[in-house]
Amino acid sequence: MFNSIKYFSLTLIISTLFLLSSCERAIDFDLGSAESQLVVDAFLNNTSDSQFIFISKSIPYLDKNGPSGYEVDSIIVVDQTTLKPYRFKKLRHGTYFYVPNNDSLTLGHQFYLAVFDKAKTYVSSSKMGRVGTIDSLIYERESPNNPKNLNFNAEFIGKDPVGVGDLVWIREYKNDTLVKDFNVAYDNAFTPNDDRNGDGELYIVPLRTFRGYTFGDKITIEIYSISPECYYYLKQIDVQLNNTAGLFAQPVANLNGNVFDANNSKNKILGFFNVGASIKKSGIVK
Amino acid sequence: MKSVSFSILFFVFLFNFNAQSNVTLSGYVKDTANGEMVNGCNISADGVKFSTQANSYGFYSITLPAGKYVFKFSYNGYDTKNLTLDLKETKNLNIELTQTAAISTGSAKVTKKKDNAVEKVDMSVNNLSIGQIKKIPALFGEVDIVRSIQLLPGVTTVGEGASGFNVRGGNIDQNLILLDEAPVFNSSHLFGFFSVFNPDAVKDVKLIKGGIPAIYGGRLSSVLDVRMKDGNNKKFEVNGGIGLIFSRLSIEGPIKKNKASFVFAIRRSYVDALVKPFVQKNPDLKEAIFYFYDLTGKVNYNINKNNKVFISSYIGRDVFGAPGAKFDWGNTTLTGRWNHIFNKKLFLNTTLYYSNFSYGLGFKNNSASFDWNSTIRNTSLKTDFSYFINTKNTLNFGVVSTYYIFKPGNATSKDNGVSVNFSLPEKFSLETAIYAENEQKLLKKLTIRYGARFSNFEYIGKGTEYILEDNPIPGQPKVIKERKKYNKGEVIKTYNNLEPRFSANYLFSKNASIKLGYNRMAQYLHLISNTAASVPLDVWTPSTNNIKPQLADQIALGYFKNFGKTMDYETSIEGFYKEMGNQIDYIDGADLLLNTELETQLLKGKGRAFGLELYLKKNVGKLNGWVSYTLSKSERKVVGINQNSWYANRFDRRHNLNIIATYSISDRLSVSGNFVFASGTPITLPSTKYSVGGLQNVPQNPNDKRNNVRIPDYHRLDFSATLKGKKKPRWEGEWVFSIYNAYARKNAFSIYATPNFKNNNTPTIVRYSVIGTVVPAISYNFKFK
Repeated sequence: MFNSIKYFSLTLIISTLFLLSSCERAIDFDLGSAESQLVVDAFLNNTSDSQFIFISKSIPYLDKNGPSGYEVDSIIVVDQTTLKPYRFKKLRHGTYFYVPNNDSLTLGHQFYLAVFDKAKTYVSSSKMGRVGTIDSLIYERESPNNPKNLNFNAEFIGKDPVGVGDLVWIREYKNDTLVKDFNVAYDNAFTPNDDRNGDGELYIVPLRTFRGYTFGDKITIEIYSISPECYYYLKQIDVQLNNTAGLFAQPVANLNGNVFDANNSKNKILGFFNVGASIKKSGIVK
Repeated sequence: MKSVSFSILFFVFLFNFNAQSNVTLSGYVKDTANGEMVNGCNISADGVKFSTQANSYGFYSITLPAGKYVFKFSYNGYDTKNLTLDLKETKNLNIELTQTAAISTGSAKVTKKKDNAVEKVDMSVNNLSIGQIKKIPALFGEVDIVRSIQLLPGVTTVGEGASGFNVRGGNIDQNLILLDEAPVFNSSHLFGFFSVFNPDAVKDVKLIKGGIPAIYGGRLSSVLDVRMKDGNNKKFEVNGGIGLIFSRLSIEGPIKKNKASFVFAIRRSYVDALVKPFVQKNPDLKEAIFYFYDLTGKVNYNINKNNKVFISSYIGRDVFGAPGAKFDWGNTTLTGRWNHIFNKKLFLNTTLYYSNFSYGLGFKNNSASFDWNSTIRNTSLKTDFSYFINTKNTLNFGVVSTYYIFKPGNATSKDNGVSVNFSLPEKFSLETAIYAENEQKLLKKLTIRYGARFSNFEYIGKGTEYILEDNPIPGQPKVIKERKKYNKGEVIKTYNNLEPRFSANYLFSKNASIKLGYNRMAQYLHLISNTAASVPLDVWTPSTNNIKPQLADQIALGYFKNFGKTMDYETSIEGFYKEMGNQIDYIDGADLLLNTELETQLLKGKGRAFGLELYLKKNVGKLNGWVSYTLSKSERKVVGINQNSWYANRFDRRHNLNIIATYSISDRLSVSGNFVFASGTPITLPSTKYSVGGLQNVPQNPNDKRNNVRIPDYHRLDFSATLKGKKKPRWEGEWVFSIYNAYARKNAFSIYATPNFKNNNTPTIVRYSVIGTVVPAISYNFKFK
């Protein structure tokens, strides 16, 4: 929904301010000191695909390069129920992987993460929640009455599981690239909702709608279950990444991750650990 | 309650007792031309020996020993009237004042007019007549009240196009904006480019920034009291204007001469129509609609010498639409007033008002839709007494009770006929206050005003009390420990506050005084907004068990002096210090819309602001205008933000300079100019970035500082010229040419960091300017009578 509001607001602002010749211009600005911080990026799922964990260091904001990988001693994920360890191996500088061999992570279990880096150990935990279903993808013209507008909107038809506490990240991949605008849902609503309206129903508009497609584009929708902490984390990312200028801008704020120093739980590091169930559906816009 | 009313009566009785051998002169002060009441007129007899002020309904009463006096009636924008009266007995006398020619017609005539700011006990008050406001060069040539008050000392704004205004370091929700006594919850059209007040229907505007009288309450930082015209009760008159953005038309006149009159005014924008040809190529914008309108009306009726009734109303709405989406908002107010004169000394005003602010937002595609609306509604009854006890004392007292209904969000999703309701429950509250305040001439040179307001606020059912865990994890939503349900009418939480008020004026001489003001204010309503500028989607919420009432203490000290041959220069220098408690802030990434558990997202902090305001004003002569300079600082401290230490508010501006000048070249031509300088506001920018969850360029601010950098300073120069048409018996026309932002400065509204600017896929720092060029405009105003 917030994406839709933002899109709408932007349209509004553009329209309103068109007359006032509002303008945006790239400027040089000294952002000051840029202390580099450790980042643990661990979003795992229950599929049989290879699972990756990325370790990196933050870099100056205006740096044109991507993040620089960082090498740690070892990484392990443990299933609390079965006590089975999943040892991640180094693929390349900063990238660690695990290939499931009929031992994909199990729905409903709690998992622990430990990252060993010299004298320090960084830990976190996450419980895998449920996801709903995706039955089909449908497409429709953005303005059916306007033959010149060749844009399509896409939507998926799927259901939230019956019962409370199903938090999901609805990820959209356009031509196999993750779209940075995304939706997160709290029991098929936008926020925690006392009356649990919408629970167990079809995912609602605008959670299930996506804009900006043209004929022949590939769309993949993934629903990935997340913990409540992850839900707030993603909401914060959404605000931070899609914050522009103007009246609707929110303050730049640091994200609140869930990975911390094992010896000092107050010492949080950047990044997040979430283990979720995942379902995907792809289609070609036509 | 009973005991309080009793003590007020006792108080009244006590003062009444020692006023036996005196006589009283009382009545209304009116405008000669149109019969409008002149509110706040200064009345003195024999210099400053005896003096009083007409109240805000134009009624005055002055009690003094029988004898011969020279009475002087003076008010900003009017010629002073001197009247010699041999007063042997109590007398009723309505006074008519004539508007100073320089203001009403722009002629070059120099008039002798002394402003009375020095003598009044009021401080931190700015009065603007609609005539003065019309002289200020305006954006698109459209006269605007809120944009005009932003030129006064102590008033700032987040930026161009931001809604509302900030007074002495206070948030925008801390201004009590009154239109004929009914509060207006959102004073903006087109976000913040224009305000909701139609200048053709406005009589005068008063901004009170400090030493706030006890009659006002419910907001921390200021009162903007906008009074509508009563309507010309002598003859019909049509006023109008045609501009680039909107057109105006108002009609006023007597219903029954000197007995009843009306005013009706309408505005409608046509930006959408004008912009159409330019947006044909863009299908999104082609189908876009955006316009606003407002209707303002008022009727008054003099039942008899002692009774008057007024009914006024405002309805306004902004409407925006894009393909598949719609957004609209607006206010509605309705005020009924009854003025009653009990006797020469006791005046009563009773007001019943209704005010409503609502917005709606909707999305739809072929099969499904989502609709959302939100409302704040309130109904209030208030009774105010002005008791002109004797030459030395004027007592104001009264009681007000307001019932609020909040609909924070009604949301429905419809899908192939199946509808899901996401509405949040309504919230209810009742705010009641009693006040009493006496203005007393303590010594010949010393006048004091002292009083208090006692306010009571009840958050009532039907509703839920959320009891939160004591030790929240910083940055995370608070956890709800318990939910207690309450039935309709049950009290969930009660707050009481005693709000003392005090002002003093010591006259050094006839033309110089020193003033002191203190006020404590309590505010029970809160505007929930964590965007750079407030937007119409923001939701008002009552105080609850978790959201404590905001409190402010302000102290101000000022020196006032008039000088010049004819006392035509008015100066003041004021310093203020304000502390604000229970200020609302938000956890990072807070969910503020459609969230039942909103209270889990809020943080509590404190604020402080201090500053120095210099003001030099020239009221009369060929050249008039003002210079105002404010040096100030506004900060906040919230646990969970900025490492728990003080940080500058988003609207903090260190220096603020406004120069406004109008020069009358001839009877027909006048030119105006204004220059504005304001230090850049602080904002937060990241210095590093990282990737997580497949999302790149997540910003990080390693030292966790809020508002760590400042955007470039704001400055702007505007000009306007007004050319009046040749005098015709019944038609007056004028052309207004204006140039806004004359040297085309691209003033920054903000600067921000973006990972992808104009599809360059490179992290970039971008400066965003709302108005980046010169905006010339032409408009035509007319008057037909």
